[in-house]
Amino acid sequence: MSKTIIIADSDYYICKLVSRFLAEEGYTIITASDGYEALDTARLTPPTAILADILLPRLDGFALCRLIKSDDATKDLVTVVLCSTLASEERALVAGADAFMRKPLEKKRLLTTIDQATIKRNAFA
Amino acid sequence: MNDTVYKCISTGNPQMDEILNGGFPANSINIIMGQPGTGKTIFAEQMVFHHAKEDERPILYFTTLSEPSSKVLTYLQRFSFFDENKVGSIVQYIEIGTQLSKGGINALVPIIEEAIHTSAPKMIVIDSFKALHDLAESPQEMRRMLYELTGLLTAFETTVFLLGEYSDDHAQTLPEFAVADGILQFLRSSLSTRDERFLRVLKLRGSNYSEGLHGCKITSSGLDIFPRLVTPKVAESYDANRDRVKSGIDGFDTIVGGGLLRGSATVVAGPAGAGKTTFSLQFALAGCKENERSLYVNFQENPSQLARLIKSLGADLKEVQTDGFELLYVSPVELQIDSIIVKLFGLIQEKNIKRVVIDSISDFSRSSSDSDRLHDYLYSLLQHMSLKGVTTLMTYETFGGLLDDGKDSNSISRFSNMSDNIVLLGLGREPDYVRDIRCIKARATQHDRKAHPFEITSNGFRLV
Repeated sequence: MSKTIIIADSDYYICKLVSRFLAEEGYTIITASDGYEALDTARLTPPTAILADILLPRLDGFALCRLIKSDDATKDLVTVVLCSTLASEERALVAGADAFMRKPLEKKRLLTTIDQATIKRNAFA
Repeated sequence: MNDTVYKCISTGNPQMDEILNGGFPANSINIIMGQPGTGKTIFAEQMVFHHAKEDERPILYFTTLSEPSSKVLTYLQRFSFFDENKVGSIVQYIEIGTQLSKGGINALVPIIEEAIHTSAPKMIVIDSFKALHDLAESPQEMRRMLYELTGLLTAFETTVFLLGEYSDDHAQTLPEFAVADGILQFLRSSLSTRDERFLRVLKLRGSNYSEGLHGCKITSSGLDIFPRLVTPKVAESYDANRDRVKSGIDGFDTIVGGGLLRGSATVVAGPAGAGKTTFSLQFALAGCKENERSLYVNFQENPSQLARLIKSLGADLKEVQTDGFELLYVSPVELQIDSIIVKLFGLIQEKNIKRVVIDSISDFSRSSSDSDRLHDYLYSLLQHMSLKGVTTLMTYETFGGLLDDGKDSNSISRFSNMSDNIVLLGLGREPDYVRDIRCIKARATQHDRKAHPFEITSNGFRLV
């Protein structure tokens, strides 16, 4: 079964880098440049996981997480928030994220984070 | 500033890490700038091979349009930090000069992007980055390329060093300086027959780094760095010490209220031949008799000359050394204030030194191209020594004779604010040439301001 990941980040290079890292591992990638676009896509095409930046336009990463976790259609999706500060890591977990990941990114750490978040989500599902 | 938030990467040099307050921020973009021969490449290479020890993700060293990798490696072999086994595996040298010459500066971003995907480097060095300006068709093209490169390097977890022969003017005008998280400058200046090397941090985001010029020199182990001495950060409150130490000069202690206050600093000034070295040597030797280890920092008499001088005072250098007399001799030709201070502090701590003689601060003055820097250095040094309860005596050579008209008083006054006591030695005048000693300043002491005749006998310096 094809594994799909939504990467929601307004940073072109983050999207490009993550897309290539994950494509090399067999993932299908959908990019979203703001929080509402990511939410709509997740409702229409439920992915394996969503990677969301905290500083997304229109709907930030924390709000996106809260909306995903409060909707029965999307609440079981794996959510990973991309953070830039220590404080945002705590806020990501409070918002319901399964994991957070500090920017900048590195492939091995990215894959490990997604795998661990998936295991954690499956355990709670 | 909360230092715990930032992860730092070590430079591999403890002194440099101290200056940077822990190292460079991890995943930052930094510029290492300096004219040719200042030591920037050695610094970068030392850091590269320090991180190569960990055998983790590779380090990519891109050479652009400056030196080919083979030439870099040839010279690197001379340094002890170089490890040939790491070259090609953890440390990968990649020449991109040809690609850049053909494709222009826009070839750089795809090269780095591909390298990130194939190697996942933990560190990237681009040497020389400044050379890319020579290939750019316009400043706008350079700025656009830099924007893309910064976006790429910021997204990926790697720490980047851009090396270049940048000048101060470049730092004000070129766009890479605006995007850099850290800027480290290497400098070199000529002083008499030798060169002085310095480095300074111009910028380091999110770090409480140590400002100012820090001395450095190139050795076979890489770069030796001497962090600038600063006044103790917290004025440690301590009880005013009324304890007095015996000078060892017959008759002198009564002039200064029973001896020099412990932890005080005294300048002994006078023309050549006035007896400054004898006076200060006697002070140091007296410390040994009082079970106070003494350090004699000397820039004029080499150890055998000093041994003769000590013998003339009825003592033996080897014997007094077993009694706690430490000698630090540095040729005035090789004198670099930064390295001396580091050695001096090391000895004070290691040997529990209680008396220090610096013979002379005039040599210190000649060793520094910047008199204000020297002054600040000495002030900080004396503050540190005072807090440690180390009693210091410094000699200062006056020129033109020490006469009643106050000649040379301007020079002495430069050291007045940092010293607790000032003692003047005079050669005497016709017809009798009677030498005299005068204490013109003694902080917190009811001192005798009169001139007292003295003589130097086989037993040393004594007031008559």
